[in-house]
Amino acid sequence: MKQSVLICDDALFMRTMIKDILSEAGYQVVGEAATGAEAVEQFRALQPELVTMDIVMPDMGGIDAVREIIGEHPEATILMCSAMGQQALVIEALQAGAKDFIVKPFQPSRVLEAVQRVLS
Amino acid sequence: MIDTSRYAALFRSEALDHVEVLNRLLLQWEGEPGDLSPLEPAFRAVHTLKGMFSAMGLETAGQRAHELENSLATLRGAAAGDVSAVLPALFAGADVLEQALSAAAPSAPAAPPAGALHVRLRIPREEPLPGVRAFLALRKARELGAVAGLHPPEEALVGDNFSGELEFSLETDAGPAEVEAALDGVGGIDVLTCRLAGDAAAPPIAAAEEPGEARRFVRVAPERLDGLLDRIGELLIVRDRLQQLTAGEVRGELAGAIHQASRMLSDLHQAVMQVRMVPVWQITNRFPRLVRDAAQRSGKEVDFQVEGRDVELDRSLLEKLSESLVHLLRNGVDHGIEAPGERERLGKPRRGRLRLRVLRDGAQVEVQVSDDGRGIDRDAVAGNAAERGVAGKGQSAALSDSELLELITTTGVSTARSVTEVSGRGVGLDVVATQLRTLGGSLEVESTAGTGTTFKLRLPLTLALLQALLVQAGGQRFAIPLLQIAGTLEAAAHDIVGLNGREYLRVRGELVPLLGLATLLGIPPSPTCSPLPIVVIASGERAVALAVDQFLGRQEIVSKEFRPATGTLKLFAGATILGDGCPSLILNSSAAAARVLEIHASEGTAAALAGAASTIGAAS
Repeated sequence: MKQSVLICDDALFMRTMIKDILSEAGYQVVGEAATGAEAVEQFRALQPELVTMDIVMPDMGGIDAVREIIGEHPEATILMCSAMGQQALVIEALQAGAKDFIVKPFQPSRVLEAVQRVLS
Repeated sequence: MIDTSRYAALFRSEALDHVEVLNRLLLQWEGEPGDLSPLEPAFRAVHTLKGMFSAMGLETAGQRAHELENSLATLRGAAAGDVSAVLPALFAGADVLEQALSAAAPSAPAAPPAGALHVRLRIPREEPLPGVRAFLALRKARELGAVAGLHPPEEALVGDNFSGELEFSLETDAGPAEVEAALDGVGGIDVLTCRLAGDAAAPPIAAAEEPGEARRFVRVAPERLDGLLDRIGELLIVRDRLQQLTAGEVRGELAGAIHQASRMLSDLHQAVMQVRMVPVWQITNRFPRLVRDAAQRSGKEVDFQVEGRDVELDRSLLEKLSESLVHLLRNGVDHGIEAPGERERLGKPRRGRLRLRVLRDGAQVEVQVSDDGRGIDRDAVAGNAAERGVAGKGQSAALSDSELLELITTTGVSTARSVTEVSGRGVGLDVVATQLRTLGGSLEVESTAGTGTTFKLRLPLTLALLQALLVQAGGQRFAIPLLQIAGTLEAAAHDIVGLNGREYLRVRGELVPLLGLATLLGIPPSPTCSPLPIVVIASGERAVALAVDQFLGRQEIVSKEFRPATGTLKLFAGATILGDGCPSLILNSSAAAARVLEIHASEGTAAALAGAASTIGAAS
């Protein structure tokens, strides 16, 4: 049984990259979202086992989306996607309930390591 | 308020050191009352003790130390007066402090108190956003307990100057191993330290009293060293098994790697044994005081000397040796050395000489306890032995030293009070001799009438200790190493199945080959009892069941080498001397299991059994 993943990023390029990495490793990407609002909506509909969440997105940022999702589903597993230099924002997201984080540029091995860690 | 219980062990060991120093200095002063120089360091020792008692909340003891400190302070300034008037009070004061320490001993040393852990973490350089990684570790720690003393402060984690190292204390019910595993699970961090804050490497409560002793030591709870050695013991067994499994099967790099690993394990074993070595002075330092007190009680005058205080012995061996030495020293004072008046009449110096020498001799240590007293009265010993029906020689004066030793270490003779009175020797020497044998050592005595007695204790430097289950089979006792036992059980008759003339035991739905241990060893078996006590031994994938008469309990034993006659089965791994002084053989479980499997696989069981019996018979 493949574990389901929802990918949230405003850049199609980034979503595609993450999707390829995860699909190749045997995860099933069940949905994609380009805004925070979409992320919350998709989460309600799909109840995925894992969410990868970009921090800066239009129409509700990633951190607010985490608060919203965790508020409704405290057990949700969310992995933040961050760029270098966003320490304070990532910590804010972690305090809001995100489980772990990965940093761009993505290295497939590190992404998978983090995903396995939060899903174990 | 600090929870002082965490520091109890450290406090005790360090405070005992100070009491020992105090006693030594008082003895020094007693020996040379004109020299007031010991008083200053004695004062300092008491002062330090006072501080330590208060810190531990032991107010009464602190008060006693304060009083003793005052007396010493007064004496420091005074000219040498009548020492004999003050010394008893000072010695008594030292005793009070020592008693206070015993009272402060932790009642249950078993479980370490749940307390604050000291945790140090490092985020490896290659980790992106190290501060955030550190934050995750911190969040995990907070799930386990209360974090305090965080360094650097949390705000600094997001700054650019975060070094990647993080330190804090964690108040938690979880054990260090559990916490370390949880923190490891966060990923991307290295746990550098995770241990009870009160353990090891704690800052010394007081500076070392001895000038010039600038060496640094780490105090480690002995149980930890034992634990370490146990693990290595288990590893050694795994190594043997690995070598057995791969013998002749592997070549090249794998064989090289196995060889290298086993060599490194041997080195590690040696290194740990080395760590367990402690200098003899750790027990002998309290002897001068003990001898002094014994001499006072019996009205003797004794000069006591210790030689070889720096020889090192395995810690557990030293602890066990201590009791025997105390015994021999007391005996020397009480029964060996004559009263001052009698010595003068005999033309000897008034003061008797008692000497403890520790000599290193290769892999052995010889400890000599000698006195220049009256020597052992051979007539009395022989006479008493004869009275008690212990074979005596008749011509008692011709008793050799070894015959004498045999008699005085015979329980019936040596523990009899009349022997003590008549011969002036013997009390508890059997205990000393037995103790030594259980340690793999031996006892010798040299005694000359009128000139004195020397006891020589020979010991190995280290102990090969082994946890074993003692069982009785065919009326004899055998030791089976615990590590090789898969389980013990009591089998009901219906669990035993006969197949082709062989017996099997039903264990969790499987049939396990069953044989009586006595039968296996070729000794006459005892009548079978029901339920039948069984020891299950695992040998690789297979298990075998050995029936015994009864379980006698588990015990730590010292394994001694055992050389069976050539050409016989290697069913024994060694021999040991049990606590009661009787020898017992240690079963080589894997060889025994292999033999049982062989017997069960063979065609005619009866023939195989007969074969086994004759082979073993040849060995004994």
